[in-house]
Amino acid sequence: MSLLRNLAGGLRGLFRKQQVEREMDEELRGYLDAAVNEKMRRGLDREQAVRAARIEMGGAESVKQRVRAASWESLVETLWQDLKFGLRLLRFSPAFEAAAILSLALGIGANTAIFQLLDAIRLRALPVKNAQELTEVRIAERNGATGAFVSRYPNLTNPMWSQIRAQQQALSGVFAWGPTSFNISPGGPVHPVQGLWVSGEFFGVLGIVPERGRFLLPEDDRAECASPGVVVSHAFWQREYGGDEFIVGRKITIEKHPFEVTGVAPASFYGVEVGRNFDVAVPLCAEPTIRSEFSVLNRRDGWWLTVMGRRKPGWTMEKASAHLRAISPAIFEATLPSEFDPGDAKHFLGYKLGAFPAGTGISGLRETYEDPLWLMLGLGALVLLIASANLAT
Amino acid sequence: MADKPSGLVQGTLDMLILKTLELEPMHGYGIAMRIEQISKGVFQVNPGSLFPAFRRLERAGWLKSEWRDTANNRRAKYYVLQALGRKQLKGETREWARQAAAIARILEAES
Repeated sequence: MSLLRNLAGGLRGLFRKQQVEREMDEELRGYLDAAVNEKMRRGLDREQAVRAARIEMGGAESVKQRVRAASWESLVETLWQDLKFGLRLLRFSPAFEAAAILSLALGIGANTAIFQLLDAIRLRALPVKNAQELTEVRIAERNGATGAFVSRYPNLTNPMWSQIRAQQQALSGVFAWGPTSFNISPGGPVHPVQGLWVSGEFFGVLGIVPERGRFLLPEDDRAECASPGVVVSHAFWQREYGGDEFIVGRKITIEKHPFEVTGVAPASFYGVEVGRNFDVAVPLCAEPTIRSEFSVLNRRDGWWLTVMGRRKPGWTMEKASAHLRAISPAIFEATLPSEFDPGDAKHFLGYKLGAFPAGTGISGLRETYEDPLWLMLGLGALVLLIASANLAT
Repeated sequence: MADKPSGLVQGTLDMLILKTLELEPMHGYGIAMRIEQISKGVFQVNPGSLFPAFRRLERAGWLKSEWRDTANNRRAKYYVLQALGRKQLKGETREWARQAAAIARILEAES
């Protein structure tokens, strides 16, 4: 109550300053008059009375000053006056003003730009529900692997993926994917688009709802791969098909093979790789058809997949990691490439799987630039701080 | 010129103002005169402390001010004691009496 009244009184003092001042003047004048009258009643003549009363009062301006100082809005006023004074001073030194504005603008701009980059590659979660549950499964310390590496993220082989899917308990749903590039031109000039190899569980585990048609299901990703369909992104649908109403069921040519479009992903879903938008998602089982003699699907030394999943409720990252470490020997035993020499084989069998947070997606940019970006952000903030300190003095 | 009324303990001016207004609403000069008269000239309140105190008490909701005509037909700002102010005065009076009695006991104690 009293706080509100104080606030209201203060605001009135700020915005109806003239009226408040006028009232104060009138009140003080009235006080002086009363004092003069009183002194005349006691026998002083008018001139003496006025002088005595003035002396008693001690200057109307100083009284007013002290009344003003008794309230919070005087702080605001002082601030405003300082600001006006500062601006007036700046007018007299345009060079200083320009330097000040420029350095502040640069400092703020640099910080904003760096932060946006960091936000995009590091901080922002994938546009899927409960992104914090997403976990990547990969070999914890894999150095010196041998074989064919055929993607930007050649973390695991397809046989490993099958084993992980069959044996792991830590994740409620698990899927594999790998980025690639497809030529979708039926003939003539090459028309490359961003492709995604996905296991049948990909869309289901991520929990995305199709904008059109249906997504790929585990049934679409069987070994025989009878009728492989593909899912296209919203952007691709708009760009290549002009948002065609009847996109579902249409045939799309990928590396000279026709595939049927089964569904369209929503506009918000760009994939799980930060900074890259997928155009066409194709089931893993179609890989031999598309890559023909270069297929790595069944090669035990063909590294091309990334495995992710959702952690079960109650499973921490450490617990999941411990579980994956425990099932590692069996998995690598079962997927050991037969052609490996004893040295490579020993190394291979020593691999340990681990769980890693993947809620913010997978990003090659992040691995390369995250630390420098944090450093730059720190430097940018420091420069801004120094600039501000310089200007303040 | 002394900032505080002579000999007035800090914080007691508020109490004196509230007490003065307990009888009837008054304008600034009236309040100053009343305090001076009742204290038989011991306390002389100058406007430099009086008006800031009015502003403070008004903000606290203990006083309200309104413009009224005086006896000799001039306009003056009258201060009116509010319920909150009355409560405050009661509390302060009690506290004052307690402290004054305690001080008196200390001063009178035979050492």
